[in-house]
Amino acid sequence: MNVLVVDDSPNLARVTAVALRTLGCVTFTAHNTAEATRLLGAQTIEAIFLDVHLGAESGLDYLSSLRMQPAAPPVILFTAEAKDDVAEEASRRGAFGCLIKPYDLDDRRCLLDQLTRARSRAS
Amino acid sequence: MPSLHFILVQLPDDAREAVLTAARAEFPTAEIIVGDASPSPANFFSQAECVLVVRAATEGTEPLNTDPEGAPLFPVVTLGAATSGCVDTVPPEAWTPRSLARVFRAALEQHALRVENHRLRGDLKTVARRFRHDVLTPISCINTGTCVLKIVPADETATIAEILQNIDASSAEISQLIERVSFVLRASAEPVKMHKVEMGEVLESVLAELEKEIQQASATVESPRLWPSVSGVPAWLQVIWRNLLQNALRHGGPAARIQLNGSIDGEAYRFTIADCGDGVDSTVIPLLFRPFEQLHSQHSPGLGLSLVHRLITLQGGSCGYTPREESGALFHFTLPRTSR
Repeated sequence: MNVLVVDDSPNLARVTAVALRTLGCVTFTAHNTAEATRLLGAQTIEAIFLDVHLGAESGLDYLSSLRMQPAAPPVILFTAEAKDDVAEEASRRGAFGCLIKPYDLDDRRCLLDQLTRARSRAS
Repeated sequence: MPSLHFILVQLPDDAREAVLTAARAEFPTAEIIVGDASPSPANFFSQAECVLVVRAATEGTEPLNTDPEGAPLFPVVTLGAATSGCVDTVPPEAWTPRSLARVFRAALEQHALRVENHRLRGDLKTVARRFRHDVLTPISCINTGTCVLKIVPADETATIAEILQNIDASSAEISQLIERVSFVLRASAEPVKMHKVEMGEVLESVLAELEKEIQQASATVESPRLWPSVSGVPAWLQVIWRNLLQNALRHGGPAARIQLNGSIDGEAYRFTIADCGDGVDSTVIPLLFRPFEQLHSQHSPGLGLSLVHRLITLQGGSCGYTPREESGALFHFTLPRTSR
């Protein structure tokens, strides 16, 4: 699965990409929404891991703009906000899932498994 | 105390003389402005100045005296009959110069406490939300990296090295965050005495500390030979210059040419740091120097310039950013010339 990781923290973007590669994904990384949009245009992306806080930008707003595009890939948000604060808003805006920091590899694996099952059902 | 301005709005005729006498006697250097309407925060004086509004009590016309973040902007003293419905109205029997002088002094003291209370509550919210967020990001890095290390084959040395490097960097990030936030909170909470400080010595020490970073960036730093003495806290001034210089080294472009300067600007010294990089994106400019106590409420870049803003404010100065006409960034700050 081709996965785009969008996070303004270079360390977290890098380690998330390495972690996803160990789970069998091909990864691309972006540190802001402009880079993410460019990669979405240039690559076939099947899922997006998107941080809610992207420096001065909002991942939630970017999620909304993505959901308005036809055939946009599913988005998994990650955030350090309290679960109830963001999870509901993420779901309302059409996120596939939401990871709450601090998270680990198993949390990602679990969501990726759900995503793969959902894709299998859809096809 | 910063310069004080009285704004008198639609005063009752029988209070005018006592108000003027009280204001002139208690605050002889204050400017007195007679206006028709309550001041609007939009056309307000600079933050370094202090305004006291004295107005007639009228039904349902409380002036808007907080900024968009809810910070109190100025104290308001309302004169009127006790039946006017306004809270804390000064009744006619107290419209004597002596009583009004006491009321004005109390209003200013109460306002200072409200401002400090707002700032402290904001600091708590910033620690509870923004700091929590910023520290959980590198912790997630460490958690994930540790999990990957457990499953990655031992012969994938490049992946292992990359993960270990990330864990190292994340650990350093956590330490720096704790150090920065702790510095802001200590500076804000503990009373500190201002000293006469030779700015040249402060800069010399910071430039020596950053010598390696400057060399690694192939940057040059141009600095005047003579710097003024200022009233401030040496450790805070070092942090201010270090943050601004590291900022210029990061964003000043390849082989950055950084120019430092200091000049007299009215009642203040004005210090500048300029580089020839790409400058700051116009959408980010309003978020620079965002006060620490407001970092919880909006997406914004890192903590460094908020720390600078707080330390400068605590020393009675102000700070800002100006895009350069040619290209590059110009950061500036002022410190009062007179000791506080």
